[in-house]
Amino acid sequence: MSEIIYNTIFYIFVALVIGSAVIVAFSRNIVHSAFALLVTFFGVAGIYVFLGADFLAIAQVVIYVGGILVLILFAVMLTSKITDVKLSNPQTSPYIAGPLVFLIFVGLVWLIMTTPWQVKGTLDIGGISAIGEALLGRYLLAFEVSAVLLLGALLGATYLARKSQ
Amino acid sequence: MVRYFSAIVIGLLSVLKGMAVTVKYFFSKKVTMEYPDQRWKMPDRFRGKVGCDTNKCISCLYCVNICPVSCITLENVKAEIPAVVTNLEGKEMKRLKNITKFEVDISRCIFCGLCTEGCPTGAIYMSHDYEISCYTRKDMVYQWVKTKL
Amino acid sequence: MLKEYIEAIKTFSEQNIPFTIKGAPVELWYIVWIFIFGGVVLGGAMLFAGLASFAERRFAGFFQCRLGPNRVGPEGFFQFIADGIKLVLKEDLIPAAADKMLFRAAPYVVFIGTLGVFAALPFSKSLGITNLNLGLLYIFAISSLVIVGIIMAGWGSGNKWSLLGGMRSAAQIISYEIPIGVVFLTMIMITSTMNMQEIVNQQGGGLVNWLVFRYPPFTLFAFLIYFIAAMAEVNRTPFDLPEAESELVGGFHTEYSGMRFAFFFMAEYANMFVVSAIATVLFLGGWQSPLPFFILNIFGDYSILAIIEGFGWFITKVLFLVFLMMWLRWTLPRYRVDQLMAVCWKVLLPLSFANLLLIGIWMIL
Repeated sequence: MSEIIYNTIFYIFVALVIGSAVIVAFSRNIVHSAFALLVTFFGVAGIYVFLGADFLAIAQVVIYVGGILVLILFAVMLTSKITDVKLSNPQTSPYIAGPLVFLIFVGLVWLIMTTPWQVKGTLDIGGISAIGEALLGRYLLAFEVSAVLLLGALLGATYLARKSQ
Repeated sequence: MVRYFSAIVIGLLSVLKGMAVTVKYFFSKKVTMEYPDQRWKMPDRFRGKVGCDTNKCISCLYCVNICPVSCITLENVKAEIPAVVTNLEGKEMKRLKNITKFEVDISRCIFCGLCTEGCPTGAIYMSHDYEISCYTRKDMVYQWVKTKL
Repeated sequence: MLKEYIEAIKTFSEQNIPFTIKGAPVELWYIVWIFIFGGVVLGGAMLFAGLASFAERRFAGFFQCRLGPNRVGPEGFFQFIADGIKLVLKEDLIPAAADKMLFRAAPYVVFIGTLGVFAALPFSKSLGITNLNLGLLYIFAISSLVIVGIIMAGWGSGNKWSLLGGMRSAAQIISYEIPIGVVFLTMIMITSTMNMQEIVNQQGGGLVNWLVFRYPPFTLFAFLIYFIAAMAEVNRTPFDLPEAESELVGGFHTEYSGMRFAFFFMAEYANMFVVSAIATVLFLGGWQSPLPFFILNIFGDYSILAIIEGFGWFITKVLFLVFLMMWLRWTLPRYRVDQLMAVCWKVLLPLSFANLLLIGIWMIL
């Protein structure tokens, strides 16, 4: 019984993710696509909770919903004539894109089926202190590199946005 | 640097000052009142809607003649028995005519008060009533005396 | 987390529910409890929003030397019920130019973003819907839904004023989320936990142990920064540019009427409660008594009475902060857009970072 309930909740989340992702891909209105992305992000966060990765789930919401989605919306809304369907989501050569997408799909499925997944039950990371120690200890280099990358992006944006002299 | 921090301090202090002002009003006596239930007491010489005590009127037509906008109408017929009216000084005056129509068109009235100043018996007066809005022009005409002939 | 939580609910159900369905799985209880808690929170939030809207109008009157609404019930206390009935009965208009789906969905998204926060608030000793280990981060995350909802409303209305209001609002909330994040970081650094109950537990034992007095005066500065930024987050005057009725008609909720407008309205007041509650938990000791002891502790640490007392302290502090917001609203005029951004980026952000650094240095010393 409890298995059934777990599975039901899980598949509800999966349906939410896939359904909204389909809207993102196929909607002719780019604003609708952007808002459907909201549901996708939340569904993915729900699946992270299922995997026992609470921190990751919340970070997903903070970064993707609070940051990236809002940035996408800003970009969409500051573009002129965005309501014009032709401009927002044009369909270009489905005969090339179709096989390409199919190949990627098959590749991904093959990858998922052949990867030896480690099933260890829920992963206990041990709270934020463990994450902090891991970030500033074992993975310090990756952490610093990403920090430098973000700094570069920030400086680049400032350079582009400033008034030309 | 000094300017930056002093600006912050001044800003916060001015917010506190403003809050002190508003909280003073929070506890002070309220200046508004619940209008239809409570009303202002009008000063004695407030000029509101024109009122008339027709029993006092001697039908002298003073108010009709003095009115700058001619908004008062008075019609009368000769009376068989003259009525006796006491005027402002306590002297008795005779009304020789019966009033058949006495009305004021308040939509034309300029509230100058000239009609009340010269009235020998004080029959016509400026009331303290300021609620004179109504739905039709007809309602703006106040009929003090109306006799069907 | 899910499993532990379900276990906790199982034990709670077994102890407190007089009747249990034989053989019903725990997860079913979990779902049932979700709905019960959801209903309680929704009812509580709506009641608070109604009362706060009445209080706001009445206090606005007092601050302006007026009487305010006082006709419905004693001292106008039932004004919010009259307002609610009016809003329910009003026609639900959808403009012809609106993007109907987004227009319909937006109030719910905003409301979910606000209500979601209630799930992690510690209302009293062991009284709260959940006790998340990452409570503070969760609150930070879920409240970002409000921005999306506001943009949705602004865009969906198909009205340039609404869109302008929505954009302003989003820009403002995103900007002010950064100082709030830094202040959260400061407090997490001091308490070394994100669990809201744990943060409150660390502030027990009277007024002096509240975090706002922990590293004087830096935590006081942190409190001020948080409070100012939080006022901007919930679009209160003097930061109410998104609604700016004199320039944008009503901002993002210009086109809304009836129940949908009521949702925005309630979300705004529930949001006031939420930010005040977070400030209370982080700085003012949450449900801890300002006295060094609980008055009703004689009946046991976790008795119903002690929990009620804690709830009383919590609500008192929160309501004081809400009143402070109303007080400020009727004191200060609205900012210009550039001033708004200058306050955030040039004052609050550097000061919050400096604060973080100084408190860190103090903690090491």
